[in-house]
Amino acid sequence: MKSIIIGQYIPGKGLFYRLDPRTKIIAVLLIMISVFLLETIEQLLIGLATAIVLLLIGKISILKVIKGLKPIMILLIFTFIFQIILNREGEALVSQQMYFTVYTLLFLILAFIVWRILAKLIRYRFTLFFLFAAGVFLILSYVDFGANIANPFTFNIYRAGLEMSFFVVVRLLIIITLSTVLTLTTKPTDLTQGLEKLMHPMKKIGFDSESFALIISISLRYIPTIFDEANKIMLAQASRGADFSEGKLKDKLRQVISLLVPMFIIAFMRSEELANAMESRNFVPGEKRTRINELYFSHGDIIATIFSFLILALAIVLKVI
Amino acid sequence: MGIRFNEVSYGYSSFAQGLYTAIKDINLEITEKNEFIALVGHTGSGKSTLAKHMNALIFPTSGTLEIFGRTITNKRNKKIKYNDIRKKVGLVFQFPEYQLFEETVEKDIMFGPMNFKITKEEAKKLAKQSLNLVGLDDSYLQRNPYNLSGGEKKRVSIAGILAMDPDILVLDEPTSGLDPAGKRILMDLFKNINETTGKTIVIITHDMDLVYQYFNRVLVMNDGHLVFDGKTDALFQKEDLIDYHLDYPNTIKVLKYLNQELNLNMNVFQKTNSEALAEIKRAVKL
Amino acid sequence: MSYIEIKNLTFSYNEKTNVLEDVNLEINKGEWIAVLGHNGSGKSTLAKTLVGLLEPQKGEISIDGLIMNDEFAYEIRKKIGIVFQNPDNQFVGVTVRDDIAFGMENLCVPREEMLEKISFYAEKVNMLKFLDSEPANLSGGQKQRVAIAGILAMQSDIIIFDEATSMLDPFSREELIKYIKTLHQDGLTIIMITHDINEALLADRILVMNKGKVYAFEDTEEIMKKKSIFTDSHLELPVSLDLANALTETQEYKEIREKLWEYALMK
Repeated sequence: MKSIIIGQYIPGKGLFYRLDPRTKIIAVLLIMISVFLLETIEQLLIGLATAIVLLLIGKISILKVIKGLKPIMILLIFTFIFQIILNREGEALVSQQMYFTVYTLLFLILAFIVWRILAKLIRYRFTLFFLFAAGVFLILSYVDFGANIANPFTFNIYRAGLEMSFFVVVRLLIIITLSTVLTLTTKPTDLTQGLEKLMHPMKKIGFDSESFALIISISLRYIPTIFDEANKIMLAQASRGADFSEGKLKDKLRQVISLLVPMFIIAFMRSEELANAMESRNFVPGEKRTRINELYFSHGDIIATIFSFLILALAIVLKVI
Repeated sequence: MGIRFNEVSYGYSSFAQGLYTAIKDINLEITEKNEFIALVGHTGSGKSTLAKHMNALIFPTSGTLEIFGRTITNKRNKKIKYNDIRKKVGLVFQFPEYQLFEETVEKDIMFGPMNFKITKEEAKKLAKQSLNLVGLDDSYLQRNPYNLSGGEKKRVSIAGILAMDPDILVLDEPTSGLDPAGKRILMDLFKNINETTGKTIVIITHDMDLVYQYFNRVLVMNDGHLVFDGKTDALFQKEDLIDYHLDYPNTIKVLKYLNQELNLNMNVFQKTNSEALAEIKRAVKL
Repeated sequence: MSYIEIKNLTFSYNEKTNVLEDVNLEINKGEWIAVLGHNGSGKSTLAKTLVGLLEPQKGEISIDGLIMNDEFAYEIRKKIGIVFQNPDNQFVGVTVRDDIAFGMENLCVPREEMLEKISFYAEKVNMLKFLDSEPANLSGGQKQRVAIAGILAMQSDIIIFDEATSMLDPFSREELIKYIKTLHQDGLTIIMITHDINEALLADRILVMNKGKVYAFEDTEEIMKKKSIFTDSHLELPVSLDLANALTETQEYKEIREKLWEYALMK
């Protein structure tokens, strides 16, 4: 759990920790919109650089953020490849004749086996993967002897495809970096309260932002409890032979049910008891309440908000020009 | 055979406490037949952790554990089917809500045996048998476990493990939350199983009166160490039980008070109220 | 008029069986009442009607002169609070501070006043150092103390404990009882539903419920002398009183009986 940086609050000091959550939410939103308005590669690169500069200002370890990106690396790579293969506009930047013969297949299988073996021994998974990908590329390009299984074909990477994939990937990177900074530096409860205050105007259309925020903060409070319970239930069922790591598919279904049913029932009992406790302490949904926790704006917030609006303005200007 | 602990320690790192050792250097032998053992200790002394090792739910951080011939170390051994151990050593947890999940009591009790490849027909028979064994009649079979009272749920959860026919039975506070009559019914049941089938039973409890009345052998955990492994009578004869964060059984406490206040010299080691009463009458006659 | 008055209270969940039947009770300010009874005797239901969580079909409850109904429920709930059995399922706040504040927030107490009261009542239950702690890092006993602080912060002077110690280990149980004793010394009215006879012995009067009806409601000592009450309610007398009741009331046993009673009421 510790390596999942995305979404997890880690206490610390620094500029971003001191900002009001509302400022951070608005800033992230404005910057994300700006990022989508940018049109050229150069602008996007500047955007990425700005994001990195923000990390430095906030004294947030870039290494940590990169490590935190690992889970979605696969998504990024997939998106990249997807765009490259499907997009056929513009000039072909790379044009490679490729073959698929009996020997190609043989070499591919060999490369695959070597990759899997090495993957178990060496830890540099992504480097290995890239080496494997490069190997596949070379094999397809140069192993041209032997009987053809499929006709030779040309593998092309087009300019538009490359550009598009670059755009998508860099945009994703910026957005994820921004969100990570947001959740990294903001306590979940502060985030909830920030959202609640920002959504206050929606009361006019009937959306009870306060109750919504209360639901979220109560859910957050119970997350560790629920993890703990899940663990206890698994141990109790494991004692009855429900080994959650072994078993056929049919058994696995039963095992999952033996975990979920108690969790749901306990959750229902809990909600009733909690509702009683809240009501006995005079909680009435929708009624006015004072708050122990308050949010305060400071100078930093004003500067940050102005800065975000400037970025948006710049993006709009660039788009219009 | 049975269970043998060799210098077993178990520790884990938690966010709040850093590296925390729950049990330290445990050496313990539990034979697979005829033993009736009480496991006591203050909260956090490691009783539950010790119990979870007994059916290989958790592995030791250091030291080795032998359960029915299989050696358990801190590494998972692919040759050992740990699930088999759970059939031989049945562990019943304290809260039935974490275990009951089926629509009927019958189906829930059948869950355990069927996980161990017992046929449906055979499992049904076992369910009925175990249910009756814990003092509930057949009318309970088709009822929803969650509509039962706390005491009834407890008994159904115990039946669920009994139905697996384990050789050793380990129960974590099986009598907590029951009224006095319910406690006695269950304790008599366990004693009966132990005496008629010869199964070894280990019970974690806080109730010193039950320990005194039903158990010959008691294990005391204190701050992760096994500080006492011996006869119950010997334990309560110690003067310094408070060092173990334990209390004396009520009969002993009351008789000690009377001795102290009235300058009597009664034998305080009486297990039941009637025995204590007889001792008081005897002392007064003098 | 007594502080708490219950007249002809009848309650049922469905139309068929009455969980509470024609209950009549009067409780004085500052009293410590223990409520005993078998499972299903109506103890918890009684507690819930007292705080207005359940509405009786018949009868009336009044607390400090106010009748429990829609109009006065809000006012009454300021005076009376309830600590439930499961320490985890009544802890609303993300931290101890937030949880103690919860009731006051509902009463629209100004923020500065809340902060003062939180420090004051957290100190009273010895949780001042834990104001920023999260419930996941607290023991059951600590959570129950936070619940008490939250109720006190609403300026309640009646607290109902609905088997509040049954999910705690013996050590935490003892600790919680100590706090409840100090509350009683401060003049609070305590209504304690319990299965533990030793806890019941601390009370001024004991109410025994049986099948929804008031089976007995007398001074603690009087109740303890009537063994039949206990067997009928599936309860057991403590060892000392069982022995005292078994010894005949002759002179030779007088001293011993006195000492046994002394022992029982000593805790």
